[in-house]
Amino acid sequence: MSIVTVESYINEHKDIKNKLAGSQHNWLQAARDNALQSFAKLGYPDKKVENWKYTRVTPIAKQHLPILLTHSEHYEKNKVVSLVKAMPDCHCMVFINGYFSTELSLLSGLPDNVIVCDFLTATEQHSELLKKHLQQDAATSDSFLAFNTAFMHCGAFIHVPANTQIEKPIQLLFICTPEANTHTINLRNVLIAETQSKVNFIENYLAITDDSYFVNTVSNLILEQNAHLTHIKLQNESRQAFHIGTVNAQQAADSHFHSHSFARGGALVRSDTNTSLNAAGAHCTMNGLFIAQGKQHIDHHTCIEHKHSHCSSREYYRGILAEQAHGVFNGRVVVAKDAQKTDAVQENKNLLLSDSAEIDTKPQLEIYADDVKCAHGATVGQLDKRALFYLQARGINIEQATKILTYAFAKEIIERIDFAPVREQCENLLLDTYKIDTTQEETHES
Amino acid sequence: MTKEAHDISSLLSQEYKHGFVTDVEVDTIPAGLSEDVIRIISAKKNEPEFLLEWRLKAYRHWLTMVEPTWSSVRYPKIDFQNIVYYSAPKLDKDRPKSLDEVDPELLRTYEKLGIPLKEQEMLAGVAVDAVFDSVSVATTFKAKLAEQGIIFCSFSEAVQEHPELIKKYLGSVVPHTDNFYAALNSAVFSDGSFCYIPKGVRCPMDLSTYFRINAASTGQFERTLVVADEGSYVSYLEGCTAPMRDENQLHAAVVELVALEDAEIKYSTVQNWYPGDKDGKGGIYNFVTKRGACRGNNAKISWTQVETGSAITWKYPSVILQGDNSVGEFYSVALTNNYQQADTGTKMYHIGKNTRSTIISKGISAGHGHNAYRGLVKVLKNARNARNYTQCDSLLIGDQCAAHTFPYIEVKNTSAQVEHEATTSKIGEDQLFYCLQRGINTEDAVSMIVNGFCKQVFKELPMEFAVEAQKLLGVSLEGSVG
Repeated sequence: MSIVTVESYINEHKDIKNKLAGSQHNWLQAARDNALQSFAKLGYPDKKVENWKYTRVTPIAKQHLPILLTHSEHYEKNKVVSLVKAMPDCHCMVFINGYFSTELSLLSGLPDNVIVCDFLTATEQHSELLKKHLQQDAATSDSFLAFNTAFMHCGAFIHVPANTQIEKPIQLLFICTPEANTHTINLRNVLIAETQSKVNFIENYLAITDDSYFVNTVSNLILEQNAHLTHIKLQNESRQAFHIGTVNAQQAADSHFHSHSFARGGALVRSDTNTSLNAAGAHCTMNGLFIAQGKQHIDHHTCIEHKHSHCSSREYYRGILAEQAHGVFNGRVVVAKDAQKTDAVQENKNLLLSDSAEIDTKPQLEIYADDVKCAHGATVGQLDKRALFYLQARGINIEQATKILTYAFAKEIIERIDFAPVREQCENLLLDTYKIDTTQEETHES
Repeated sequence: MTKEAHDISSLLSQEYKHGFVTDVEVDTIPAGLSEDVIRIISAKKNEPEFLLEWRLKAYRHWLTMVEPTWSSVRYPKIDFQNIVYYSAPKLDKDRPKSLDEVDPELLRTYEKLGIPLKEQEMLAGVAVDAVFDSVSVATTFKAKLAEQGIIFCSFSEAVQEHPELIKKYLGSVVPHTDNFYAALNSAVFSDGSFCYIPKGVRCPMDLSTYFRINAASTGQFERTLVVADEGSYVSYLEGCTAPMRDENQLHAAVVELVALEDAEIKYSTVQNWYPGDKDGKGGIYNFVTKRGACRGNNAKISWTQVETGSAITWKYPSVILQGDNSVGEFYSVALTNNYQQADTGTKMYHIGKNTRSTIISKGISAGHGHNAYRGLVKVLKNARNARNYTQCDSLLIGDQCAAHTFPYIEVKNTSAQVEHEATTSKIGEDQLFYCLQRGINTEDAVSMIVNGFCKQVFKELPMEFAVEAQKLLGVSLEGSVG
């Protein structure tokens, strides 16, 4: 079954190859061809592939979801405008079904030397920069990464030159409309922070449809020396959607990478965040929160590679699983042979709210150096009975008490986000999920 | 630091202290594996029909399997047709009835290892079922145990005398289809130990088996089966040491434990097989399947292991917590030095209600050693109030070694509480300095620190074993300073 689908994509690639962005560049076409070969060879991952042990991709593999090649015109613009407005105080690039909309985007006030454009424009105007920073070789071992590289066409290209600080975050707002139904939205973002620069990105995945579509997104982040880059990924796709996303960061000396991942939507979700600490003094923090309900399947994989000495990393991931949801967490910390004085901490806590929910977690450490400080911890449990009792003793019924404590569990991760509008949006989503009536709480207090 | 470096190199290069070859004539069959070889093994041991059938079934299944490659250990491909699957020490007509009748050459072997049977018989009150290569040569204290109805004998003996028990329990925990090496073992196992503790009996002494690998290119395929009937208790010790050899020897044992209602089994292992020389040449491949099943309510199975030997150790002593309120424990110290590799850990399957498990794993990596903890804690849907605590710590000595942790946690029940903690660190320079300053030399200081690191596990071992384990660790680790 899946073989047929792989072949159908190979055929599709033949047909549309010359219509893809930058098809005039031989190097880009070569990269696509190589990636397609890898994809053909790898096929869809099954449970024998260790990285996909707990996640079955059959729903994606059993059907051909063609790449959407045209701009979408028919959608409710006012809905999009209100979504843009929902995140104040930031620059915003709006993508409708993957295609950049200049009209809806808000990009005024950015420094002149900063390049902000879509993938297509990048292949036309900044092909040298793109060639330099596009991570082409990573596509050989992962099916979906290979798929993504083979069909690169849409996405954002942002280049922040040396010594430039951008105060307001740049939001990449990816909105899927009913036209995305049974299509693949293939996104490739290349975000570059040069020496001494500082920039915050928000990748926001939303839908104004309840349909089933497939988003395959890859972001390449490049942090040059002493660059500070924050990357917030908010995923709230349609509950029927498939979302497979990878964030790959490369960090130079003394760079700081902060990653936040908040997953709430989608039917079948896989989200990878990887970083490679390539030179001394690099630091990364990875925070993540996934909330799954119904029959949602949300899988997070992270990998922090300490390739050089004197680097540090911190990782905090939490999962809340209710109803028949299935959560997966796999955190990998690799300390290379000469990466002495590495300091790595990883923590994963999971809350199971239903007997039908399942969590599979694997915090992994692979250490090849001796002078290191590494710790990891993982827990799976339920809410503290004493805390529940405390609330009940104060007249809050058990359902409400459960919601309050669950909210508190999640909030510890949300609080780590620096940017207030994002924090508020996440909190509102939480409150909405757990139907906590804040006004009522306030009256209790007063 | 230069002095320390000198110490390290001189101490790390210590030769294996138990390396020698006993010159005993052996009754071997040619190398290679086929149905005929299995029939020969079975015939030589005069086995009943059902066992031969079982072996053949396992062999046929094994042929359909491929060697697993998922673990972190690396080794050259094993040629299964180049292994001798049966060898027994040549004995006079019959088996010896007491130690006096045992081949004196064998007894001297044990004496060299510092475990003279005679002394041991008198000393700690330990019944020893000594396994020399593949056939048991001596069983002591048997009469005394028999008084209480305890059966403790070699596997072949049990097959002859208690076929009904063998038929009932063999393969009930580790089926012949379980994994590549378990299937191989099921097809060709030569001997091992069998132990049955009747209802309500508390075994009055620790039962112990000493394994030894001898005779060139003889794979050793032990089969151990321990059954603790309702309300019984047994503590079982397994200790190993092997002579020096340049050729890699494969060891694929299977250990099955069955604990019925209210029964408790404590299984302790000290493994010190030949780890290969300092360049990683030679050494034993130790691919073992160990599993226990808590069949009844309130049953308890506890694994304690000290792994210092073998070129490659690959084993995951597991517990299936089937009965309500059953308890599984795993305490492990795994040490890798020079080019040793270890991929070890445990699996805890929580099936019954209120089941609890504890995992304490201490990995020590020195030289070019590779040490991996790989564990699984699985809580099934009906396992209400399951509880697990896992702690795995790694200690790194030297900058060429590696330590990995792969803990898998799969939970399908809300009331489960699963905790996992892991740390990795090296021996602190301040700790060493503190000891040196007080006149303790580097070697002793390292040994002290490592012993402290492992204390949690050692205290689970029976007294005699704890002493041996500490000594072993000292020998295997001497002078490895980071």
